[in-house]
Amino acid sequence: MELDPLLLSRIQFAFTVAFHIIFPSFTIGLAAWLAVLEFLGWRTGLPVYRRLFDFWIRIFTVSFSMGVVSGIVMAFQFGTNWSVLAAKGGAIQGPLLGYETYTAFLLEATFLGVMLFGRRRVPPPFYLFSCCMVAVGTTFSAFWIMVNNTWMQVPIGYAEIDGRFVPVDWLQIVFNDVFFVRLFHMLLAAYITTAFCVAAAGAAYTLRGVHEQEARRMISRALVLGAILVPIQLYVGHLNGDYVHEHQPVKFAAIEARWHTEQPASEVLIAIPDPEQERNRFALSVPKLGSYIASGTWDSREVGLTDFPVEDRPPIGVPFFAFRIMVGMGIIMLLVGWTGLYLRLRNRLLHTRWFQKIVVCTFPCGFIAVLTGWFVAEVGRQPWVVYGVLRTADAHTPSLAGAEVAMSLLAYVLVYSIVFVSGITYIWRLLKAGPLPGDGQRDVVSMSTRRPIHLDNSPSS
Amino acid sequence: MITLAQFWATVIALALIVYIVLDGFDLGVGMLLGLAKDESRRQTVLKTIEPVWDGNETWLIVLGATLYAAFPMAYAIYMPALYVGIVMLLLALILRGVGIEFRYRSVANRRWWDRAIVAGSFTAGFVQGVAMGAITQGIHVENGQFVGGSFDWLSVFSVMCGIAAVVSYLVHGMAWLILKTEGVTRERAYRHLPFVFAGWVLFLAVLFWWVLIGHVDLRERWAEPSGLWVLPVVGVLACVGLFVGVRRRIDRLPFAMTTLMFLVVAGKFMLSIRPYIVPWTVTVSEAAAPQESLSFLFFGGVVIIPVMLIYTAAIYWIFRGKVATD
Repeated sequence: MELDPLLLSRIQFAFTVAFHIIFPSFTIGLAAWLAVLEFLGWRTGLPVYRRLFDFWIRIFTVSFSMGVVSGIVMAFQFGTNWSVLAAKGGAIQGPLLGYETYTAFLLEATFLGVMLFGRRRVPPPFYLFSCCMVAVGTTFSAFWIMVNNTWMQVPIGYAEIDGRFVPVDWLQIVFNDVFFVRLFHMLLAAYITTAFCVAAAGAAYTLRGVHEQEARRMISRALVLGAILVPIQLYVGHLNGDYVHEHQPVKFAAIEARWHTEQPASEVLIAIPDPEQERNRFALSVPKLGSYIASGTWDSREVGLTDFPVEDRPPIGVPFFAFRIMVGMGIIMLLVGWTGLYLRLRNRLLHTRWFQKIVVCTFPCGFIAVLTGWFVAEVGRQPWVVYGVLRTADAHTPSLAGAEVAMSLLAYVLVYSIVFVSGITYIWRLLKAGPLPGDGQRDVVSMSTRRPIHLDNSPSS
Repeated sequence: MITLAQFWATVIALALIVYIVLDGFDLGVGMLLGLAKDESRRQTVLKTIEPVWDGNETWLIVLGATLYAAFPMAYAIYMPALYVGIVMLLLALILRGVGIEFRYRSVANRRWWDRAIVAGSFTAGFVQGVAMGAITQGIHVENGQFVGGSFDWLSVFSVMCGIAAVVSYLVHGMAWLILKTEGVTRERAYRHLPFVFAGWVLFLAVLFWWVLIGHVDLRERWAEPSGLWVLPVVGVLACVGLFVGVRRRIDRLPFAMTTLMFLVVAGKFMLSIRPYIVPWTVTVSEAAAPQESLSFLFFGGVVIIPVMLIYTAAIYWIFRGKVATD
């Protein structure tokens, strides 16, 4: 069997990065939630906030550790499997990753130590500061990685000299409009994902009739946050679409499964794209809506895939379906968030059981939206790794043999599977157990779900 | 007046040293975990590294990312050249890292996670040593790209370097336990440290001799008058200091001395490969990113990197003192 190192490297990257993104999507929001809880506990002195903190930090730790270790793999994978990209684009992407390491990775890793073990060793303001530093670190991480990925999508501020991409204007590379839109899209996605997980946990406890004080705050605050953020996110998502429309027309056409240039353009709601015949089968489409979504006018000319040579088109299926799933998740979360807000305002939230069951079921929505959104972004960018400038196929490490990549892919899949299954199992168990009797009084994060809990300095066995 | 490229090469050298000194001891402690007889001892041992291991490990990313940022050509050579080793290292670090977090999650699987910590620590240390050895022997480069084979990095010399690294991390870990624990754990560490340390020195001597008899071509570089002789002298002083510390039960001394030894060995390595950043074909100036990149990174880096060192030191100060023990 002929092992194609390029294909295997693609699969490996897709696998490892998809795995990785799940965790920051959760921990960015969680870190902020923990900082808020610590602040509220400090300011109000209400024990419930400490209990919530001691509970959620256990879950945070498991998730954060998986995010960190899978992130380390990414930092080295640019070089191991995509060395041509690293050599050509390194002058730009390298410093961006460097700043991410300096301002985010080390910051969050270091202050996490204080969060987990330092409550008794540092004064309360410094402890809160440490929680904030972890939250800031995760946010900076999102900042720099979005700068990096944005440059790959819309390469600007550079010149090509001797086959290398040399930075010409760093301000342009970092602080451009496309980046801001995408950064907020990612940050909102992270906060929304976490919000629905917290809400789901709160709803589950409410349904079981346990942890009443904590659950009340979880479900109420999280759903209100969701109700506010999701509509903003839908709008920011639309702005994202605008940048794709302007800068990556072939990706936009793929997302829309628009084969031929149309004026006015219809919106394909659902279909089965047929790349062989360059048309859609079983298409359900709305006339003129495509133009409106793309440009805000009902009669704009929208470009089709056939305007581009075949070798410049991305795969159609993934961007098309992934996009619709992502939007679908957004609409679900919008409805759930607004219903939750409505019920909250009517003080019916805690008593409406059918709704709480729905909330419990929405916990994966954010994760699905994040993953499918990134599929759209990254698969839609193909065949380019740097859009319009460097093809993914040309960026692969030349010295890699198929057997090497097959080995590494297998090894990553094996280890990640073990880690992921274990980690998710442990998070699930922690969520089921809920806040523990010793929470709110311990000095060191208890790592255990078992009772009784020792109230001294050591984790119980 | 040094160039930006030289500045960043120095930062990389610094990051390498910081990484080895910091992650070295927690990898060493991870290796020693298997020797702890019961759960209470294991927790004592782990408590010495729990607040700091994550930050320590992150200095590896500081090293890798700075290499990528300032010398992308070198990064694009090293990563493929050491591909198999790097994958092994990453997986070992993953298992070590989640092992430390996950062991508390499950009583049934705790022993498995402990094994993951031990195996991950040994593997990570070994691969790091092998990588240093392989780099010293030289990377096969043509036209700025790696052109060698998948297992170029594996040789008798590099494997010996790997073993030396494992032993060095064990010593460093034992010295850390002496510093941070009391009672039985500390006593056991004191008892065994001299032997393991002697083993490390023996390995270093073997590697030294290997170079001297010509298997690895460093002789010419070491023959150049450069003051490098200072390092072995400091090394000898470190040995003396360590034995005095063990003898007199001065808890802080062994760790200080093992740190000094790391400075000596790492310093010797890095000064020996100058001016190459990829031995023996690519120099620091050849591999350097364009000035626009180096200065962009410098602009923030010159402030942020000292801040990084400060809060790294602060975390150790916050968690100073002995851990609550068995």
